[in-house]
Amino acid sequence: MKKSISLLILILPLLGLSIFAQYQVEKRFEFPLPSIVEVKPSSFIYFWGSLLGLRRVSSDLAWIRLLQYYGTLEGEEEHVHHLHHHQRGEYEELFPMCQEVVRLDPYFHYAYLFGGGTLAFNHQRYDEAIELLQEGIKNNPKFWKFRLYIAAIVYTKTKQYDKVVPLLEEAIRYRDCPEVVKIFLANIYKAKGEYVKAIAIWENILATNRDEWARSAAESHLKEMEIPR
Amino acid sequence: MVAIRTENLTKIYIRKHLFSSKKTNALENLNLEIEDRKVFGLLGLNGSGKTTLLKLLVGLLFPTKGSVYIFEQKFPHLSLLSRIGYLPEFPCFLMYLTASEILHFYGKLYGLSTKEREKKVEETLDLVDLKENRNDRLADFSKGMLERIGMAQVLLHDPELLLLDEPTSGLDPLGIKKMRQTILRLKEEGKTILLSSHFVTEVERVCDQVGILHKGKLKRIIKMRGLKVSLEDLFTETVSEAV
Amino acid sequence: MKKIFAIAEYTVKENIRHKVFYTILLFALVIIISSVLFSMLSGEEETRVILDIGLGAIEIFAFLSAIFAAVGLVLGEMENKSISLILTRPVRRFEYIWGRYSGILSISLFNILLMSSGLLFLLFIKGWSFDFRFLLAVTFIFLKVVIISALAILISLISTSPISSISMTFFLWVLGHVTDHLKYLNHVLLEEGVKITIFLKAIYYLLPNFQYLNIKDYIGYPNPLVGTTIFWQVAYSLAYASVATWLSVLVFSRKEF
Ligand SMILES: Nc1ncnc2c1ncn2[C@@H]1O[C@H](COP(=O)(O)OP(=O)(O)OP(=O)(O)O)[C@@H](O)[C@H]1O
Ligand SMILES: [Mg+2]
Repeated sequence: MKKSISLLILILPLLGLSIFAQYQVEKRFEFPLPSIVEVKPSSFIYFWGSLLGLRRVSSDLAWIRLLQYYGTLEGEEEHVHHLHHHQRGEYEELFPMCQEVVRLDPYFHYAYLFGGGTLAFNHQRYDEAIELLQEGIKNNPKFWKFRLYIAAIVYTKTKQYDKVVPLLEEAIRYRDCPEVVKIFLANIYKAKGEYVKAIAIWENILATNRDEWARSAAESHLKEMEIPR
Repeated sequence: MVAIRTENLTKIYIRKHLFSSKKTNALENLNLEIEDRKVFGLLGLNGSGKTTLLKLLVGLLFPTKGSVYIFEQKFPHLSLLSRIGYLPEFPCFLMYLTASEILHFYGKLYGLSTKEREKKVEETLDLVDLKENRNDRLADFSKGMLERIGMAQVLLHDPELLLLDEPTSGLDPLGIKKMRQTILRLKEEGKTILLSSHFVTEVERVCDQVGILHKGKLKRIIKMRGLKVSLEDLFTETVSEAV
Repeated sequence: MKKIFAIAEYTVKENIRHKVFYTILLFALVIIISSVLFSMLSGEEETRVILDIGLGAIEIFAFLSAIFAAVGLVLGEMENKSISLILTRPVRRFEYIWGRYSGILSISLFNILLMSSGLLFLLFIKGWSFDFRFLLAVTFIFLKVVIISALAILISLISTSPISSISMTFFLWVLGHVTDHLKYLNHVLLEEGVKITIFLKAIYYLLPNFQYLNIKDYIGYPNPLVGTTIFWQVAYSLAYASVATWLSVLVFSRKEF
């Protein structure tokens, strides 16, 4: 009995310390992820992943699913080749899927860039693209590239391609620039007759990208412009 | 000196079930005194409370009532445990260790230095004829070998008081004979031994004194020296008159 | 101290002789390596996926091995009574518990270090540039294991069967990751007119709070943790784990064998 009491005397201050420390942590640091209940994930896998503390893995799985949905196998030839070919209604789920990825992990920068770029430059779904990127700005106020992309998208929407070019020229200088953006810029160059610049981008894609479809798109463009390689 | 003394030692097991609880009076008001340098045999039928008593004497169980003194010191007391060697009824080990590893581990718990341990472990392994198996895993041991390891861990730290719970159960005739020799040798070395058994003949051969335990009560203490009647008759008589 | 060390040492020995230990490690390495397959599907985000799956695997398998050690070895030892040969030697009950606990932590630390070096190696092959937040994430995975191992021991002492211990521990692991939702629940209940704020708050502070320790999940968070936050997080983990372990000692010292 006496032993138990002395143990309790030892335990209580430690319990106090643990509560105090937790309070201190919370005071300094707001938990940075939206509740999984609010995210309403489309699959129980993401839900359980989050419950097990695997939020980023869930986001990655959603991301892989998005890429598979967007398909890198067939149909992509067209959407990289022809700028204004796509109708709304194709890849209807693309936007909600992007949203799910970035709600599972709000700090997944590339997902915003990829989603925004693809929605805007491949599918002319400018509003959705801007909405996604704005969510990115809200979650990552210091990540300025989102603003750059929004600007480019707004100008593209109003067909002010002269203003788009310098913005995208800046965007493609960074490593995290999605291929869609490069391809879009190359197509603008081509339309404007600046073949040298367009070719430079295609060759860059060919040199740096390991992705089968981006490479074949680049190759066929180069062939089209009769650049032997 | 008195090696073991119990005062009104009582143990009541309480088994809690969902709505009821079942009480078993395993030991009732046991008053026992055991002289040192003697072999004391605890004789009783199954379920008479022998194991319970031994466990109370090593602190695995806590008395419901009463107290235990070992070498005139109130038990439980940590330093007393270094002077006791305990052989459980069913010795069970950490099967993933080898014979010498487990003895080294127990040796460390007594705070023996590496050198002392080396020496002690070799000695005891020799004593129980397990020298060749010292690097075999206990998982590969036969039952008899495990019993011997059990004895080795009793002797490891050279205790003054040995509490052996049915030391001969599970041994072959040769093993039983060796055990008897070991006990007699230890007695000669001046150890105090308390052993439990339900084999009258075993107890008869090695003990100086025998206590008959029946349904948790100490019925009789018999001095073996100069005993005229046979112990077996005494035992059956005691047990049946108590019914 | 010596005795705590001796018990810790044999816990480690016992563990590394167990097949389960290697199965867990092997499985973890297989998953870490197969994260490369997933990364191939992830476009430009290869190293991110390897990093995430790798850290996730490290945590889950460190968690599993801690559960196995705490429930399998400690509960197993009490069930097969081999513990009686330890407690009948001059070992205090708290020495046993702390010895076991530190043994389990040593194994977990070893596991985590081994798995993270495997992961680092893989990441470097894939051209990942080192980020110190990796070390922070791994450290905090260890802190989570520090807490859950202490709880697993406590639970195995209270419950009676391995299955119930394992499921209880698992349950606490999940709850610990959603403690924030208790606030949400409180909010909802208040709107319904149910006032149990104090009760919920007590639960909130008594449950392990893994959410805040789960740095690997918000590694990309733009406002990185500052030193004092990290200090309090470490203090929290150690204090919480000590409370659980001393409670185990309390329960254990009343146990009969
Ligand atoms: N852990 C326990 N919980 C409840 N009752 C118990 C417990 N252990 C023993 N008992 C009861 O206490 C009594 C004494 O048991 P004990 O094991 O001491 O007998 P024993 O003399 O050693 O018998 P045996 O010769 O069979 O070994 C028995 O009735 C037994 O059912
Ligand atoms: Mg018995």
